[in-house]
Amino acid sequence: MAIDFSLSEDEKMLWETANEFAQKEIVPNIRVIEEKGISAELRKKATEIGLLGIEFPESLGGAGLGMFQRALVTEAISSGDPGAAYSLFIHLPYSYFLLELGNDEMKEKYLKPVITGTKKACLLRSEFLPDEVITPIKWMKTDGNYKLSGRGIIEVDNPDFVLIPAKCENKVGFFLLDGLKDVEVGKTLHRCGVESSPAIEILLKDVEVKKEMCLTEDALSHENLWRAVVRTRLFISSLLLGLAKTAQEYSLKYAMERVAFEQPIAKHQAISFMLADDATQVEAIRLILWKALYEFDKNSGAEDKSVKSSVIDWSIEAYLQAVDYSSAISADAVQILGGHGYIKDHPVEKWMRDVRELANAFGRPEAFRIALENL
Amino acid sequence: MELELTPAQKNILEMVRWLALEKLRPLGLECDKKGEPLPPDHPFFKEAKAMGIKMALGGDVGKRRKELTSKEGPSEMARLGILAAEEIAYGDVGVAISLPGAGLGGPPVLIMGTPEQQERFFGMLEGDEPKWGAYALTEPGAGSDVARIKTTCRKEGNYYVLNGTKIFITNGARATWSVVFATIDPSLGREGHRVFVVEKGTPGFYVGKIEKKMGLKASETAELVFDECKVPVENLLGGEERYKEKAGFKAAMETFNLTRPAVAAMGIGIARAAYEYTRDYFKENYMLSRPIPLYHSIKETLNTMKRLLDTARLLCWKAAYMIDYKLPNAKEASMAKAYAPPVCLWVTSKCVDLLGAEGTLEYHHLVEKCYRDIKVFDIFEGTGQAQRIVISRRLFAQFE
Repeated sequence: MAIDFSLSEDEKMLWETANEFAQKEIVPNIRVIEEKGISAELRKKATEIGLLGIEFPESLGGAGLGMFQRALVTEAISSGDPGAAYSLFIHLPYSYFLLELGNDEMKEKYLKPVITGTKKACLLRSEFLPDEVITPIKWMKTDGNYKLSGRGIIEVDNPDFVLIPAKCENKVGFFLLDGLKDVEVGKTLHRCGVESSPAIEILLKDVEVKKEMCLTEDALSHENLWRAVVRTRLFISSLLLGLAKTAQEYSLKYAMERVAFEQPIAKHQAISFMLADDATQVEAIRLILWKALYEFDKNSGAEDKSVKSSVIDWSIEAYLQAVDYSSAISADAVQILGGHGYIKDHPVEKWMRDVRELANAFGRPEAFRIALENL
Repeated sequence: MELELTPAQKNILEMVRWLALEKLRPLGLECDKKGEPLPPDHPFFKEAKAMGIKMALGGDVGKRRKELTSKEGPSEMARLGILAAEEIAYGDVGVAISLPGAGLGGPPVLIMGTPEQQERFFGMLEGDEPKWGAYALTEPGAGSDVARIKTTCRKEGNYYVLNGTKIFITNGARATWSVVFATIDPSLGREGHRVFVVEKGTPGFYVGKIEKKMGLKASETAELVFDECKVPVENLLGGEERYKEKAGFKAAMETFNLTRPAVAAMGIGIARAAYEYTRDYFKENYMLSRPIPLYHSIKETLNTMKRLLDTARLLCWKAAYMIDYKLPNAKEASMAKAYAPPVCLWVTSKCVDLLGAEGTLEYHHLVEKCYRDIKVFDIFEGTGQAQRIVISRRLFAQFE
């Protein structure tokens, strides 16, 4: 019978490992990580238990599993703290685009060390909208090599590699930078949420990029681009699911302890209905995300255009549900905690800020609200 | 984890959809115009029974009974039932819940009945003639709060004597038997509950008025009156032993765990019918010289409708999957029932909006009818508020 929501023993173990890591290493240090970012030591621990490369081929140092297993891990870590999870997994969008658009040599040289935790890398902040990639960088061709210019944002301090989407008229190319030696590093911006990842301005003035560092000149017509985009979207959606789950659980626990008018506030119907709706919405995000993940893992190799567009549609639906409900749930959590929700002794105010950053990382919900192809 | 239909399931659903569109929808529209339920002697019911089509909620009662009681592996019936429920409601939900079979009366007999009772009561529904079962719980003073029922029963010799009134009973007037909840003493709350199967023609059992409703007009909604109604002891579901614990109330609740996801799925069927009609209308019609779906706000609304219905469907699937795997699903069943109806209400009302003033006209009768049909889904089988009470209590339980 093919409607089956059960996890295999391996999947349960994977979730437990990730959950234990989140509860032990992240939850007690939420504010420290927010201020200082993910420490080298923490990243090392996460690497050792294999959290960085779940969905990548074993030949590249990954575990060779699917996006579903990745999402289980991401949700568990994000349930510890979504901002910390974003920073810990900041290499994923980079890795997805390299995996799908790069050649074997590039993957060996620039992807494997990232997955195995020896190098740091990130994707330049950009948006992957339906039929469009928005990037602040331009590329031009010179003597077989390329020149990049423009001002953009990266989210890793002193990265070993940066992947840069850049535009030339209607073509979007992807280029690898080996370190920041040719780049002018500007100021670090103050951001609304996810402060554990710095938002660092970089300025590219005719930076020369060798031919072999170009993944593709024309990603929009590359047959694998959609897979990298959908992987990124599913990753962001699982972060949002973790955020929704932890905000819902935190506010529920608080509401059971906090007494007003002679009973725990959870027992007042105005609050209990809110808690019930929040729990239902967490389940709603999870189920539609699982469906999208299932479709991706099963059909990511599909050649057929209609199958492909249905996989894309599912990922968009999951993403929008995750955005809408996690926004509502994190705001509810602050409301339920009342004055306590507003101050930094509790993490809910952080999650309410984080949700805005996550919802708009590498995409923009508004652009997807009209994007379904198969109505 | 696996989340798609098998080819065999797709084939079954194709057949159900054909039936829903070809048979149920025209009958439903006709009844809606007349404002009368489809009469029990309508030839369609005999035809449906001959084709082996039964009330979707009950599924194949015989098979389901075996699967529910067997100790071996997971069943398929709840998931198949839920898939069929959406599809059949997509045709017409009023006719769907009028299909012959045990209906909502099936699950309590399955859950509580002795083997002899199951044999006897399900046996009564067999044969060529269409026959119905019904489920009588709601009273003028007790709906979602089942513990407050006032219909009494007292034992006299080999009989229980029932007194009270049940209202809003689906197929209540035509039912061969009804599952009736009564209490030996209202002050005992849930522990006083007893569940009976009351057969048509039992002395002291009368059918009161047939309700006129906003929607679901093809379905019969009856008042049942018990006036010194003498029900034989053998019709006490599960026998007297069973009531040493809170069995009666538990039966009502367990029934809900089975039926709530299916009812939610029916709501999705209705909303999907309205959504598809509106979507196709827009694909084929132009306004201000460009195709309507190119207007951003309209496209966004259609996109959101599909997304919310897809999500609601998955919540129903999850609750049904848990039934088949014999996992406790009270919370998930209520989540499906709390989530789907408001979504479906929004979808159908937006469909009327999008069609504009025309949406309220008979020309677009289907959408206008869906709008009226859907409302009750946020009310029966436990109101949206009652679902939220169930969910929040389950959430609190982990702290107690």
